[in-house]
Amino acid sequence: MSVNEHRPKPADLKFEILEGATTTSATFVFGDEDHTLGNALRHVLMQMPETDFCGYSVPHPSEPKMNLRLQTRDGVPAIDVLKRGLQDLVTICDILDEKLDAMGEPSDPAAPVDSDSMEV
Amino acid sequence: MSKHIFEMRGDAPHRVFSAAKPDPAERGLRYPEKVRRRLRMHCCKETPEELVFDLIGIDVSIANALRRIMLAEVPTMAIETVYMEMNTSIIFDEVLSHRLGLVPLNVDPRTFSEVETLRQKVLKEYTTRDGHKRVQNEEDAEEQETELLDENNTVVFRLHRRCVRPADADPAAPPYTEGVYSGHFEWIPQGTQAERFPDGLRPLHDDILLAKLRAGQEIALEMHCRKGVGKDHAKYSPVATASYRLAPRITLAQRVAGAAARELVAACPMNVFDIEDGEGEGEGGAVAVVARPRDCTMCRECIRPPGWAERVTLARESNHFIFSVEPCGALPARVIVKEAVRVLRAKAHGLLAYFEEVEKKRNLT
Repeated sequence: MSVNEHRPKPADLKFEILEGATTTSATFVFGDEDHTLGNALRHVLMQMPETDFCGYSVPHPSEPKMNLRLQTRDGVPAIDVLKRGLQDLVTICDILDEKLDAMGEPSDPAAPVDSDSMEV
Repeated sequence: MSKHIFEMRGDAPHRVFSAAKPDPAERGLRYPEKVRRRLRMHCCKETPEELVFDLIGIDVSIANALRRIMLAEVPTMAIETVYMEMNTSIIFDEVLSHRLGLVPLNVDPRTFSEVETLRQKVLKEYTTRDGHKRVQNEEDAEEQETELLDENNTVVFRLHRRCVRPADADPAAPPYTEGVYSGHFEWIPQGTQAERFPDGLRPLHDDILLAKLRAGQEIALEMHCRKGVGKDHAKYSPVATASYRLAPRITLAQRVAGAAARELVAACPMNVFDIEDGEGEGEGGAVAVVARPRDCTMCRECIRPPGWAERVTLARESNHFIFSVEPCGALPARVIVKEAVRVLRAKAHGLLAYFEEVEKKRNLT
């Protein structure tokens, strides 16, 4: 190891539910995660009809932690929604993988793809 | 205009967030199914140095996750430890080691595993609380941090150069020097590596100058390479850069012809517009068309003169990403993108697996 090498310590806990959580609203703490998973997961969770509120933050850049707040509707347990959200993210990755395999040889993108008709 | 298109006007972007209008065809579908319907990928350019592709119909958060992963979390192999046996050159040991670390290697990281410490190995085998205790009870903390190196996670190179002044060298010539290059690396196969890599392992380029030696100076060292990720050190990043931009959409709201068309073509520094023969006679028949919208940098030079903002609309599509991935060489760009998707999937899947394990344990007790 070289002289001034700094290796950040990995998080103590991979996953934790912050104190004060109820069934339908909880703050989950993800160890060793950052905006990469945080924002993607937040987006996927916000697409679910059960979600009332979802937001994430990285409390401090030198702490390997990401907080995700999730509040749900109609008494659906937040942890269940989180699991479904993760499952959805896995499915989206599978779709991306499929489309990537299907991506052909380079061709001219000039033909304008009409995204007017597409609604995301 | 569709809600995915936001305008770049003279002062600022407009209508960036507009209300969603649900597509009736997607009613009742779960989100991943909607993504499956919308997602499109198109390869625009592929050379060994760069891959440009369109990713259409996905949210920015996922596109950004892929970009971040390509930069910082797709693993590659790089020199991590240097054992210096002899260094009488003028370059310091630390500086030389640092330079060596940055040398890109032509080693496929997928054929190697990551280095584990004893503590990690024990924790993996005993994911229960007992495993944790067992690690903590180990008296020798240093022993816990022992890295378990073997042929599956380490590549060894040697570098030995000694500068000898040729006997017939001209005494009046400037002092004799020799360069030490990455091509001088000698691969030392470990275990079965010689059979696994019959073509040998080597740096990607042979002409990287690492140090210079005068007559009588010598460098002798051994290097251990391991798998790592870019967030640990930039030398592990598989890409020189990976970025995306939103696809420009440029439209002419009115017919621009004659002298106005020429003015428009001349105003654009990126040469986005062309003049084509349209209907009509002579001067007025030459109309401006948007020929290369992708080249637009949104400099807004074309809408700056008074009156032009009504004729030209500059906009971007917020769900159309033009990705550009420039690999360093060890992995082709397509593989890097694929690996990035795999890493993102592993993040989500790893947490699901963790929940399952916790559930199992709870049922046991």
